[in-house]
Amino acid sequence: MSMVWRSLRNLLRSPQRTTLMVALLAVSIGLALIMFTVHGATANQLGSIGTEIGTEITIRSAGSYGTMGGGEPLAQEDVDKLSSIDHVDSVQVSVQTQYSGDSLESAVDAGSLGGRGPMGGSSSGSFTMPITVMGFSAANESPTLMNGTTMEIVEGSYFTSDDADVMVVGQDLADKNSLSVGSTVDIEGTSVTVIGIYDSGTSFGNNMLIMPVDTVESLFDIDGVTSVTVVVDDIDNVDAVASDIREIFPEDVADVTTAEDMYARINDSVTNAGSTSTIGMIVAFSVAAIVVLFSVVLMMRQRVKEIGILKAIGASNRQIGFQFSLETLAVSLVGAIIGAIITYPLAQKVANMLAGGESTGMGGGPGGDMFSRVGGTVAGLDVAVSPMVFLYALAIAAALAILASVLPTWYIARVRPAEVLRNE
Amino acid sequence: MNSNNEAIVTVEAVAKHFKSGDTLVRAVDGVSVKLPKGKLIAIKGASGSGKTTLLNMIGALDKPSEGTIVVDGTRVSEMHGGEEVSYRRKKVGFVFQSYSLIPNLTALENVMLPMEITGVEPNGRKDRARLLLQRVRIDDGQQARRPTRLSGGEQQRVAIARALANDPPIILADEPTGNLDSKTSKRIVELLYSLTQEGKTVIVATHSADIAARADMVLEMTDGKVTDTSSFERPKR
Ligand SMILES: Nc1ncnc2c1ncn2[C@@H]1O[C@H](COP(=O)(O)OP(=O)(O)OP(=O)(O)O)[C@@H](O)[C@H]1O
Ligand SMILES: [Mg+2]
Repeated sequence: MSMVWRSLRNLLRSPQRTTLMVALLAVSIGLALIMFTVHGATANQLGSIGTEIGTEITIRSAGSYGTMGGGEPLAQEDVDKLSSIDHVDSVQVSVQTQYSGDSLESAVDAGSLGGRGPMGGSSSGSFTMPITVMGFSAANESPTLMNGTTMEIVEGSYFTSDDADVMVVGQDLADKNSLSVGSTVDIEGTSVTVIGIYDSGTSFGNNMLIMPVDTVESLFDIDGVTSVTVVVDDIDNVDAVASDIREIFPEDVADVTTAEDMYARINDSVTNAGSTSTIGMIVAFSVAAIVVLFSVVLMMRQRVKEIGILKAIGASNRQIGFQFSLETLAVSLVGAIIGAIITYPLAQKVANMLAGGESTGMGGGPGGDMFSRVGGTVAGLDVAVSPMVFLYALAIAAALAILASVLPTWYIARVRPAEVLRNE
Repeated sequence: MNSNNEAIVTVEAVAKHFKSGDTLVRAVDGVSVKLPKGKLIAIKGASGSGKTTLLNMIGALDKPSEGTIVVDGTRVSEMHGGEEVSYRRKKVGFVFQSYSLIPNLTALENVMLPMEITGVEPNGRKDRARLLLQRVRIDDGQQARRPTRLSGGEQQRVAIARALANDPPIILADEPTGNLDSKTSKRIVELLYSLTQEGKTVIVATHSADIAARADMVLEMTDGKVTDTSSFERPKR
């Protein structure tokens, strides 16, 4: 059809304007599609978070925070009451402290933290990260370390409930101090036997001593635990159990956090990303619409004489409008397709920008595991760009062209050939 | 006066007023005239005397403020929307002083355009456009060029071919030689004159003495009024 052909040629004959228009449209339509994709991903994510909500409740001594520990330990007698609360399946305790004695040398020196400058050069560089000691119950065979990682035994074994004065040592720490399974180390005056070596994949995680809770308590003379994880039998009972726990551990003694509380925070960040992407989508679409309308107006003004001539030789408003709409449609289509293509590499980046941030702030301490796990999921807000974006792109292009054709229709009807064709 | 010639255009008590700020411009101010069929009619007059305005009203590009215009039995002054469109398609062909070709189309495509608008099938359009262009002496090479690559005279000949595309009985030309040198002008005048030999009525608004000299009828306009009408009986060549 020659009308179509002519429209395309009109576009090719003003290449700069067409290129500019296509570029602007590609960016704005691309952005709309990216936002749309991210929006879809957040909706998905919210759905899956909902089903993942656990039945865990963590209790941490008030004033302790993440990796820093601190605060008064939770009294053992109070902790003992927890298992008798209705609907509590299990109670896992952990205790955390630091070892700064002479028997062991830390595997993490401050230099590797990038703290060289303030340390005043290499000569005084004997500052090292203290060694973290964590106590877990033997039943908790895969505890989460304070930095949120989990450990994997690479040599020897984890302790059982019968073991005392034993420890599982992080790989780096073992290497640094030439420890192997069977080695003994004097810690606070007691000879402690290495029964296993673990790897957690990070140098922080590998700079720890893992012992039974009782061992840590007696070696370091701690009465009570740092954190407790209570597993409730059913999600519906979590709130009831949490309020029972809060009676045992009032607010000034301990922070009681349900999994739901944490997920709620994560949810917030995903929801935020969701609503930001909704706004972004609307803004981007509006920009695209403005670009189209603006360029249509420009095109009409530039070619008002042509419109006059077309009218003078008998073209109806509809015929003229159709031609201009075709040109707009063609430009929108090309812009939309390019926009869809740029969605592929960019959607994930934008998603990370919108949902990231939140995920790394906290973490640590048993119970922090949920947080870091979910946090990780958010950081990787999984955006899968489906080929459907091309379909959406076409829909956007069509919508824009239809929207933009309102203007020419209105404008063309008002062009008076006698006026625009006056000799200059 | 060729009283035996039937009038194809009857203009009666036509006025066209434009508001220009606070003042009312009487571009055409009470014109009554009958224009005979198959003749070359020149509308002369000083700049601003209302030639273009009158021509536009006859061509339904503009509406009279007062009076009636009847063309070939159609009351042009009272037409609306669709009627106007079909009138412009079938009854009149326009030739303007300049810039009247679509810049993005080749000469051939410009001539095909009115036929596309009226729905002539593609092959028919092309054949007829070729024929018309040959007739105004635009060769194959020139037919494939866009207007900017044609001379003013060539452009005007293409415009005349385009005006003839749908075979209208009336050709309206506004200063068709305004931008041309006298030699080129003469050829355009001859071309327009030759159209009357085929029974077309050609109405030309012009300052050109050449056209007036060749015309069968000359209307002299002053300040929106027709102040003189002279008809000439000529032996047709
Ligand atoms: N759209 C308009 N608005 C206001 N005034 C107009 C308009 N069109 C024409 N006029 C005025 O009407 C008068 C007649 O104009 P017109 O173009 O018909 O003259 P013309 O005889 O064709 O002149 P020229 O020889 O310069 O082409 C002029 O004074 C002109 O300024
Ligand atoms: Mg004029």
